[in-house]
Amino acid sequence: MMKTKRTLLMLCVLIWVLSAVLPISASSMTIQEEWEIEKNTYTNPETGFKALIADEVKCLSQEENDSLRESMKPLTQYGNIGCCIVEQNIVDDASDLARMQRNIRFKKEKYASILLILVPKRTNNEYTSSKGSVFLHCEGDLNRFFSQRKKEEICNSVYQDETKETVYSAAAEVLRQVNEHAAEKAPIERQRYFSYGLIALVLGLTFAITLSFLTDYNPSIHRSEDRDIIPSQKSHLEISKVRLISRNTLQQSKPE
Amino acid sequence: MIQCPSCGGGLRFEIETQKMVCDLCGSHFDPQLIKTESGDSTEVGVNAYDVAVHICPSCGAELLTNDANDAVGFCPFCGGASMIFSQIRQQWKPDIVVPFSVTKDNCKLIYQMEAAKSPFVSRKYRKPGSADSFRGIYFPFWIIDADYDDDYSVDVIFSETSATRSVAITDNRFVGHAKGTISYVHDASLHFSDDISEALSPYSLTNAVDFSEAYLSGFYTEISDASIEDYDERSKEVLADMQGEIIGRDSALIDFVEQWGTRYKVVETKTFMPMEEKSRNIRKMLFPVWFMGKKRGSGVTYAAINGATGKIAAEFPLSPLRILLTALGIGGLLFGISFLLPAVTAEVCLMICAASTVIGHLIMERAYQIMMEEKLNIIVKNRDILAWTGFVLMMISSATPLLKYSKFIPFLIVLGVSLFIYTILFLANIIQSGVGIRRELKKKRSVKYRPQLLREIKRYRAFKRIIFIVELLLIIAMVTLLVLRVSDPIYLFGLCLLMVTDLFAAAIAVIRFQRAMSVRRPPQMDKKGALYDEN
Ligand SMILES: [Zn+2]
Ligand SMILES: [Zn+2]
Repeated sequence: MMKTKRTLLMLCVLIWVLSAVLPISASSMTIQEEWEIEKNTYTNPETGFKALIADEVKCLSQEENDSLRESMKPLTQYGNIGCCIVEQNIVDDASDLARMQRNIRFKKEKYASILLILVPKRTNNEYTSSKGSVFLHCEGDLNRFFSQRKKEEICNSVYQDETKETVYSAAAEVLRQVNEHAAEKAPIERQRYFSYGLIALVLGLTFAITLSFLTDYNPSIHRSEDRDIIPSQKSHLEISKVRLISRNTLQQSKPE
Repeated sequence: MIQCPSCGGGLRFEIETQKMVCDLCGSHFDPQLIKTESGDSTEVGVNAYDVAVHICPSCGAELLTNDANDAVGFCPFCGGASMIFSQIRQQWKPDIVVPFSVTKDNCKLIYQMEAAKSPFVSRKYRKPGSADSFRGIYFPFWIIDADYDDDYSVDVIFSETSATRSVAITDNRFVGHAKGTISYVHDASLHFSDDISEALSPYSLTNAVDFSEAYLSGFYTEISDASIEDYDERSKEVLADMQGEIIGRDSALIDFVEQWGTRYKVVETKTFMPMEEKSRNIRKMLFPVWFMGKKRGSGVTYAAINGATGKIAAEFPLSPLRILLTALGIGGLLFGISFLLPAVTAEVCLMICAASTVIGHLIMERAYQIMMEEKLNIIVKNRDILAWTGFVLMMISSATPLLKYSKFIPFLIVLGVSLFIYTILFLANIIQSGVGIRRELKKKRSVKYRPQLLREIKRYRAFKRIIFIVELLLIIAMVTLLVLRVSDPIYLFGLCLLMVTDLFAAAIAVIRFQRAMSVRRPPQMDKKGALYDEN
């Protein structure tokens, strides 16, 4: 009887401990970290979109952090943007990681884009063989500005073997290109309805005209080749005895 | 009325059996053997037959029936509400008649198939029952048989190229003998418009039989005789043309020419010594036509089907509303698809607008040329060359992005310049064909074409010229903007809008022109009560 009681008590304690510990381990984030990210988040007063930097590896200095946030500010016109720097595990797929980060950092937001920078895991001051990488995940307006090819082009343009030391320069370069491309695309995107409206109108008109005046559809009176003449009687004119009666050379010329 | 020999009921001609049938007793008779009432023994009586004359009070058209009691209803020529019985008259007998061999059901089917060819024809011409008011009408025709039995000569001029590259031109004279008859047929009715008459030809005489008024029972006859003198000049012209054509097509002559081999090229064939008509025989014929006139606004449209061959000539005005709705439908669909596509720059939008408007203008110009060819028998030369040139240029310009242009601008310039060249070529062609058409129109003016039509053509051509000049200016502006690399979307989109407006105006004009070409003014009476045909 006592043995059963003790087992039950142990089980309760275990459940209590687990329930206290598990959420923390799932988010793999301490309250201290949360608070730091919160402190460094910028919210665009006009659109309400946020820009945040989640530096899990803690490789950015405060100045670097501020500078990156500054270059992310313009992107909050189009949607939420996060820059996440995490350690690379060999098994993790970059796009899955980016989606996971998006869900963690922007739980309730509709659209959020993530610039994910993976740093190789370091054990005992030695980097593992896995390489770091840069990955861009876009949602909302930004997703319309960036084709898959463009995203890859931008990510591949920075050094791919990121270590803690090169993270800042890589992130800064990617953000510069993203800003440049978005600034180029945004006005075109704004004219989208107008330009496609015009194109649809002109093509629709041309198609409709083509259809209505195609020879097969053009319902006008058709020309007749044999007017005025009765075909059955044409052959009644019989021709006979054709022969050559004269042959004159009219002129002769010899080009040199 | 022609009475049934068995029971005295009325007989009518049945197209399916080509026999006279009595609806009362069901007997069938050979039309050639039926005795008719009006044949009395006097000379006039032998050569004439009785007809009941029905007159249209608004246009003066006369339709004849065998029986005064036959209902005529509305006038097929002007769409007037009713035709009134005026008198019984004696009518000279024509020499021959071609009986109907296309039944009314067939005729309706032919008409409906023709109307269904275009999805843009107004509903009035497509709805069921739109072909119910077809009338079987016998129209009067003149036949001029010209007999020939004569020697003729043909000059064939060869150019001869030998191996030493010397060029010799030789003139060869052939002689031959021709014997036979050429026949010229022309309608003798003022109400039967010449363009419809031409469109229904050839008038096959294979089924022609000696005239008997039995064939006319159950149908109408139109006798507004144009005198044979009106066609005398024209018949001589046509017969002379035909002579040359028949001789030139003769296999004996062609074989003779061909035996000279490929080293020789025929430069010119001239027929000398046109043959003299030995004798000229004039006959009068009644020819069957299914005819229908429909009121359209203040005008009337005609549909006619050759009662012997089933050939159709019908006027179908296009419905601008249908075309506009189709344009909007296609446009809406494209707009929907555009959500799947990346946004385009103003330059690309401008290029697409320019390309599309140029193609649209080309298609409308072709439509105009085809209408000219079919309505006025004007042959437009080189009609297709430009279409192909344009197509090839378009293909080349569209393929330029495949050449891995790293930047977009050079491609735009290539496309812009080729469009520019194309537009100039296009305008050159229009001017050239316009000159040709104007020359042809001048020739035709005196002959027989409708003055109203000529006015419409003039008006349309003047409007079209403005439209094309505007389009050319817009293309020049576009190329200038692209070369100067002006990227302000206000200018680029402004140009797009102007192009769309230009195309829209052109579309409205060409649809209006098509309607003007297919709706004619109803025939009217002048002050003396005589008919004149302003169309
Ligand atoms: Zn009977
Ligand atoms: Zn009338």
